[in-house]
Amino acid sequence: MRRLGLAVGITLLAALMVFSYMARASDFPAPMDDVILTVSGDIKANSGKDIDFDRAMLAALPQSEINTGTPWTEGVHNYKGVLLKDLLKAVDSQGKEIIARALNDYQTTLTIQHVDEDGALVAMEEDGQALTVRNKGPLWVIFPLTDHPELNVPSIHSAMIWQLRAIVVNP
Amino acid sequence: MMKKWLNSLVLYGVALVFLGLSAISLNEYFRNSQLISSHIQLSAWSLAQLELEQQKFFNNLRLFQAGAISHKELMLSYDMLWNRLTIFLEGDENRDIRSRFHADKTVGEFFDLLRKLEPAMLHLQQNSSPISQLVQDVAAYQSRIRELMVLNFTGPEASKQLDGIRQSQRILAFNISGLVLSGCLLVFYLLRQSRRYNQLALSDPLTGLANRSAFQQQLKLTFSRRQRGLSALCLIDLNHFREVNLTLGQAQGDDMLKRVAQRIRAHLRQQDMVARLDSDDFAIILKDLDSREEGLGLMRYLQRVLVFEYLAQDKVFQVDVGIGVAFMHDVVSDDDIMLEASLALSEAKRSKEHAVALFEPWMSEQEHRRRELLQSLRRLLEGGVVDGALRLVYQPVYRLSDQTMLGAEALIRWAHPHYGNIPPPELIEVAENNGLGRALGEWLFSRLQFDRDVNRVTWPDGMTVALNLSPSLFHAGLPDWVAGQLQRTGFRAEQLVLEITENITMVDFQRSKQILEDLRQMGIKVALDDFGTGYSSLSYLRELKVDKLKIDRSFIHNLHEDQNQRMFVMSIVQLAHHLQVQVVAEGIECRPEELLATELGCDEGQGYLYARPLEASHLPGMWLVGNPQQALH
Repeated sequence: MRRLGLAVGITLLAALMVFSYMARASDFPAPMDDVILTVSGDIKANSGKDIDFDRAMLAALPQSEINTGTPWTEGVHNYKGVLLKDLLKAVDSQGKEIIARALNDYQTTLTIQHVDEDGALVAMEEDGQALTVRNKGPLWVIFPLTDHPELNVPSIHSAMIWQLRAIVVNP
Repeated sequence: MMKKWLNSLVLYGVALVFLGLSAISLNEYFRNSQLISSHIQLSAWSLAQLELEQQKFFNNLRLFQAGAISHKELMLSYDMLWNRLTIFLEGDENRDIRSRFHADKTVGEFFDLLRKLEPAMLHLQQNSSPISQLVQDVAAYQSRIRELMVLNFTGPEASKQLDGIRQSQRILAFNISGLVLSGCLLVFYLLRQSRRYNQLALSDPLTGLANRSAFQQQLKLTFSRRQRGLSALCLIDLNHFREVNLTLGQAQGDDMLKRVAQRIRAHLRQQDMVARLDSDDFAIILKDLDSREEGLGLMRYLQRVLVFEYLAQDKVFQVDVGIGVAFMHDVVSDDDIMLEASLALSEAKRSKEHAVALFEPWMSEQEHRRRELLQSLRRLLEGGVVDGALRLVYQPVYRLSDQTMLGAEALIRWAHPHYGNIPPPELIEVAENNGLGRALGEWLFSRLQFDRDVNRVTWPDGMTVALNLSPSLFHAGLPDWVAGQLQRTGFRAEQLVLEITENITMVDFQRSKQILEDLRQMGIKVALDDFGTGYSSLSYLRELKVDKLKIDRSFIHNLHEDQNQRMFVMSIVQLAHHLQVQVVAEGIECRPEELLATELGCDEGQGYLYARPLEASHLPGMWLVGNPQQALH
């Protein structure tokens, strides 16, 4: 009992440290590797300047998973990455609309409902394998279509942008 | 009313649902066709993107060959083409387009080629010979994928499919239009039918006038609206319609009603509503009257119009009507005015001089009194109350020749706690009109028994008690009923005199004869009461066998001063004696009347000269005294 209390205390302390670090880290470090995502627009972090992410930086953010099928794949797969909600929190944005652009300049708009309620995920891995350009990577916006059939509609399909390269947050 | 309202509500509801569903189907149909086209759009987009990425890769190969771009940029376009090909070859979105024109085979072969190229791509150098080969290989597929585009979107197969979609849309649109149209027709038909039924339900098939329910609706409406002018309710009743029906048959009766209906309708204004409520009961609602005089004038005029001679089967019937009028100005509800108008109608029919009667407050007071009396009477009679407010008084009857007392006539008296003494005719009327005649008859016998046993009104031998019989008791069962009463109360038949009026026996002469005969067989004496006031003829006396004939008091009154009266009485007495019928003089009030009655041959007499009607407790004294002259002193 006493040890459990201690463990909880340590965890809470660690969480506090992480949060206080994040709160202070208003500036993002320069990426060490290839830039795979650029976030710009209505963001407060990084003094409002565009933020470039390499793979490691994204992997450092809270990770989530979705198991789902899609209209472009066979069967259900496991997707892992950063929830768009967490990403916006990390860049300290209150934006209401996200313009997402792909490597081939395909562009789509994500709403705050897609982010907050529908659980849009910026996936980096499929079944434990890093997504590559050849397989809709390195970043692919995934929605939980299998668990939420009401999301399995054309408007959500068109929001599931692959080969995501940049997002612009609008107020 | 409520049901009709509900019916049309349901009808409108169904119509609304039908139209709603049709609209939804139509909308759904358009949405579906949009979905079909958007699906084609998606496929088109996918194929176009494939062609585009292929073009981009091909261009990048040429640019790399020319040294314009880096190897990394070339590899990116290679990877993206790879991605595009896997997307085309996998998943649901492109399943349809893959299956057409062997696209899966063509694109699959291209993907195989691309994968085979991978080692070469990774180590590619500018100006090397492999690159020319690569350009050639990729170019070969460019035309094949172009061909897929053409086949899918402009080829005859695609056109045929589009034609099919268009045709099916046309059929669908046609069907739905038919659905909507037939629905509208259905609704129209239903509404028309229900309107027709409503009309039928509201009119009287015989006369074409409004019927009772239409009339009641209109009356309620008139009440709820309280229109500008004065309104009045008039009830009309034909006199003697029943006789017409009985004599001429129902067909002629109906014909007469039709004629009356026509006359009423023809002589009223457009805005007045005329309805037939029940066989010969008509009702009129007069609207927009300027004054009460105008309404009454209209009704007096109508009453004169409705006095006419109806000729049928060589017989002439005098048609005339009674009209009751009530104005709707200060009554509370439609029930009230209906009551007021019917009270006025009763008054119109009762009174001889006014065929049109306007409701007046005393009528409802009288009605109220009648109701109160009925209630009290019902309690007394049905509760078997022998010694209550109802009692009997006895008026002695004497033999005129020697002043010997022969018996007494029992007269009913009612001391009502609220209304005081009720006149016997009113009491009889209330009982007769409300089915209490028999109960009243039973009460008479019970009270006789009570007076005998409790008040010691013993009836010495030879003394008779005379009872007045209610008209409703006078039917074939009367002799048996009287026998039962005698047995119940312990009186003997010889003690009883039953008094009946002429009018009672007139209704069915043959039957009356039989009843009287049966009564006399039992030893009961029968007296014909109030003789001379009715329509009776002398031949009638010959047929009916009675024991006594009571000359009405109006003939005895002032007998000594009127020569004509004396002549009448003398003739009646002579005739009666000739028929072995005894004569009783009623209402003898003074000595000269008594003397003359005796002189003219009357056998018996009763009246104030001898004794007023006596309370039961005083009667035994009279037996002892015997001679009335002594009793007076």
